[in-house]
Amino acid sequence: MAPILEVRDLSKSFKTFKAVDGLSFGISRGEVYGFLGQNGAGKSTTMRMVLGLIFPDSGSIFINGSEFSNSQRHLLKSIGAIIERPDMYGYLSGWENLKIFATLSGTKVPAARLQEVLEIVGLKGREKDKVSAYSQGMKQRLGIAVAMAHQPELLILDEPTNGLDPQGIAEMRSLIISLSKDHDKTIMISSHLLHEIEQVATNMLILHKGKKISEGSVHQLLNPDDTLT
Amino acid sequence: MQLLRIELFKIFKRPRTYISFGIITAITFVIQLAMLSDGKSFVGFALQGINEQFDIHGNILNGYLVAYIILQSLLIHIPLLVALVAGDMLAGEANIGTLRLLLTRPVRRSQLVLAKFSASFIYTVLLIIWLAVIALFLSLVLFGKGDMINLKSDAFVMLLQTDILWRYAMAFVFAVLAMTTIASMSLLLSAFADNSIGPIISTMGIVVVLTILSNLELPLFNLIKPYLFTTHIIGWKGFFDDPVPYAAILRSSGILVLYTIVFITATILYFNKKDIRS
Repeated sequence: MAPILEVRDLSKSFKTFKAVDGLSFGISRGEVYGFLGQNGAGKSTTMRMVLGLIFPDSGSIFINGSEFSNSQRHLLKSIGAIIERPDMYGYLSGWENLKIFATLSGTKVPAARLQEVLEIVGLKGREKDKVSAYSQGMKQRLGIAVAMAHQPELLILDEPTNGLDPQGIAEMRSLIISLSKDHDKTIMISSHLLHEIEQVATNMLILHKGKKISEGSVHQLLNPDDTLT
Repeated sequence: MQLLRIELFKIFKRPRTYISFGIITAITFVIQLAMLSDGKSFVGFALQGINEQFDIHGNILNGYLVAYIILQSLLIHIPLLVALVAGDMLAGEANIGTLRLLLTRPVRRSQLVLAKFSASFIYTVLLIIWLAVIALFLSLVLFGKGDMINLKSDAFVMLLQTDILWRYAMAFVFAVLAMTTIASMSLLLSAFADNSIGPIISTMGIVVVLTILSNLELPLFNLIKPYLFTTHIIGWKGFFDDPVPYAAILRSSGILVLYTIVFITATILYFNKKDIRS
């Protein structure tokens, strides 16, 4: 079976700065794939290229075996994402935001499903409040609800614990583990913190200055005796 | 259609959208109030030269004349109110970060631009309809009907009251066309920016500078004037001439449509290639 997401020799420069340099990796179904690297390592740029927000200079992206490009945006139906901050329309309610992005997902999402994702992320009862009144943690959880409402096969979460207090970080971590174990989601998650990745990921890739340093299972990478791929 | 519905929902759920309608209402009320208190002396002063040669009777300070004065006064303000929404369309979403989320959805970028342009157009139409209601119909209620004197720099045009309403209807249709050109330019500027202040101010800057160029009587500028859209956005005034210069109005309409197509095409071409880094 083709990987749910495959990236081949992807590169991107901004003027003279090489943000991503010949990056290749693949994510199989059921994995929680950690993307570890310092700020500026190229994590967000890679995720943005996978989602069609930034155009690569070279390389290819395959979603479920089909090559992704600007003219193949329908392939994004199988992905849900939060990139950096989960910014929403503050003047609208959580429910209205959820409905807007569900409508644009290319999949018919019934109201019962929206209620279900609100339950999963723990926002049931607060959906009628305006998003401007939400805490950062609630916004992050609403972002995850938006990302998963249309039942995507792959969730891409870019630094989902950024800006959260310790309790919020713990809740987010539990939510990600639950999405993987209880809801069978394949997840690509980025962080600049090793302990964040090691607690949730099954596999990980370490990125430095746009280049892949190493890749393998979290267990392998945290045990120096094991073989690296 | 779904995208357009969502864009309209967002526009009309946002409080700032109604600022434009409030500003039009406020300016119109102020002018109507001024005309109610000092209108007679204002009209007397304006008609000084004519009164010496012609014997003018009847309700000169009527709703039609007041509406015309209001429209002249709002010449610069309406583009600003259009830019407030159109200039915010892409740049505002980039600023609050929702553009990023929108474009992770399987939506074609050109569709998004067209939906945003269509939503700006509908907003513009509603703004002009509101202007028509408040400036024309309220003025008719307050000042009554009468023949309209249109004072020009070198002549005056007397229009019979039975021959005016259709002219206003056509002028408002033309105004929609002109303001749609402004909206499309504002949308283009919005595609280049990551916050809405830039496109709104730039739109106003361009409109003000080009309007000055359009009005300067210098040989150098006379060469470029026919090609400036600001020369043509005041084409609505032609409907208050007698005879109506249909050829000039049609030419102006064509140029405005051409500008709109160029602005929208440029927006799509640029936005389709733009890296979203906000």
